[in-house]
Amino acid sequence: MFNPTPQQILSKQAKKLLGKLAFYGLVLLIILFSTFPFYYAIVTSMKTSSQLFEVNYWVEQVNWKNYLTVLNQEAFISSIGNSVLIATLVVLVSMLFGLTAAYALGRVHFKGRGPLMLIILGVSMFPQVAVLSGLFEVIRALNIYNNPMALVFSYTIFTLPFTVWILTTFIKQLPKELEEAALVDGATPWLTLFKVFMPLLWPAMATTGLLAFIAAWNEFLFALTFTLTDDQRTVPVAIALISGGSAYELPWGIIMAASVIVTVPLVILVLIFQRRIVSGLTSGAVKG
Amino acid sequence: MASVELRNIEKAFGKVSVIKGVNLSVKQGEFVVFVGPSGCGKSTLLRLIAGLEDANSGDLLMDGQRVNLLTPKERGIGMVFQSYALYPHMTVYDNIAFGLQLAKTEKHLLKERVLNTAKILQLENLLDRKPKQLSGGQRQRVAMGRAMAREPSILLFDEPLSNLDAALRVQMRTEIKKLHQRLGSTMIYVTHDQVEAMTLADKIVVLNEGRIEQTGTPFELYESPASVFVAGFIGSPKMNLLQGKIISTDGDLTQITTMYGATINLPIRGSEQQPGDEVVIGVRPENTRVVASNDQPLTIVNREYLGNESFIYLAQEDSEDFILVRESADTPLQVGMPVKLVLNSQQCHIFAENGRALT
Repeated sequence: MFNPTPQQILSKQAKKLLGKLAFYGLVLLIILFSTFPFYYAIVTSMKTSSQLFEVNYWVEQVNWKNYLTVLNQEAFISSIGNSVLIATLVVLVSMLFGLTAAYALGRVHFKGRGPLMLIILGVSMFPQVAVLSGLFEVIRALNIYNNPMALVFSYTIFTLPFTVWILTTFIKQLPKELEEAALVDGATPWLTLFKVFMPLLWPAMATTGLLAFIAAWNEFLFALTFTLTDDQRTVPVAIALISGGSAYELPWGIIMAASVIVTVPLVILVLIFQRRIVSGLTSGAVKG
Repeated sequence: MASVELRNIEKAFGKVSVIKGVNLSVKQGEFVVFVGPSGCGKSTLLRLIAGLEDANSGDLLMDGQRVNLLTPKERGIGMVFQSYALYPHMTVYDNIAFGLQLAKTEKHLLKERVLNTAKILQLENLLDRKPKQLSGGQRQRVAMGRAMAREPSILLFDEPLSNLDAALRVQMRTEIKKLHQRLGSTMIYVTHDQVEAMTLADKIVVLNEGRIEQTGTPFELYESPASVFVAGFIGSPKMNLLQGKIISTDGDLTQITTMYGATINLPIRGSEQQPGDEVVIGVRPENTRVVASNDQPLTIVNREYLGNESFIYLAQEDSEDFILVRESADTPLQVGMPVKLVLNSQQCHIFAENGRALT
């Protein structure tokens, strides 16, 4: 049997302590690494223009002036409205098409199901820039240029593939008997999908819906290209176009205040759905 | 209430033929059990009747009407699945009510039906619970309630008791039997457990490799199995199957000897059988008798004491096969004793080489 001397016990304890310290040190580093940019934005948003060039890591005085300036700009308020409308519509449309497509891809046996899944995945691999000019022509043809619908349309193209993929995976995991039981009970496929499957897919839908919402909320390139006037802008573009008193001044304080304002709703959304997201990403991994 | 008739039903999945021409008629109010080893097609046959699978050929009739193209709902069937397949997000009440709601049943009638069903199945106190809060037996009853609530003319059960423990299985068996007596509806029940089949059925259908081996009452199947397969499948413990040879055929009397030397005389018509033909002699363990003797090469290799009886295993010295004898608990037979088989010809079943029974 191992019979340690007092020194050995001491060194073992020291090792354990060191391990713990290293672990929490690493955790702290990761938190710092991932939240510092946002934290610095908050700090900057509280500064006046003259304070901007002093490097400070703490909020020295709470100063809401930049926030008031941003919120008094009508164009910015309307861009928040646009963003909310577009992101919500993108989520709704993605969910509707995603669910129905996933039902077909996950449950109905037809030829070419595999290749179709691959094509759907392939679509999401194109860089946005590659499809930009083609999409522009389509939007012109549909006569929705400088209209929120143009953005809903183009964002849906990019959110649908992963929505379909994730939901298909989840639908495939639902037991076949459940569908057959619904069929015996006299449910049509439509009713089976919405009354039996959908309630069971909530975690997956919360996850994919939130991802789609964030993607639509933060998108910049399409939003810049497919809108023309200030009243049709979304938030990322509106922030980028905030200008100062002269061509030589970038109002960083105001820009940061605007960024914080539009990030907060996302953070709140994630916190609300957090438990759902976690259960959504893990449920199905093991049988619950 | 409905009768069911299957005419030349065939079903294949891709190139694998699963049901190979089944003819069967189920009378109104009958309790029919499909039994057979796994992979014999019994579940597929049930799903064909349910309308969850389409037959490749043949006709399926209910009350004389061809129903091949109708949906499960239009056929008026209720089904209990092996995994229960309860809707996990709905309460027991909603699970039972789901089919009725889809059928646009009037509100007060719906409530009455659900409560009535719950009362029959003793689920009244569980109506607000979700399936995950129920025990196995309770889930089983909810699944039956859901199938019953729409008052279907035919109730189908797909191995409903296989997920329950042994004690609960015996209890639910009795409840299903009582339910049948109470509702009087036609029931078709699939199981691989021949005890379930024997205890529940008015009529047992033994299936093997996509074909019906034999159809009959439990009594008929036990007392006069039509083939070696049925003989070996029905009855627990299994029937002893001994190799034998016809010694002589003399008019209506055929003399047969077993591989162990016992000779029996049976009133089988000799015209079809020739002396020297190989046959299989089947005899149930309770009808097998032994006496101590050095004449035959059989010894007792094992003795199992079960309290109310003893199982005696006999074997030839160099053989893996054994013969089972059911004896009284206090039998004087001991392991290692040399013994001789004593067969009563009236309790023996003789099967030809092709497996069919000789009569």
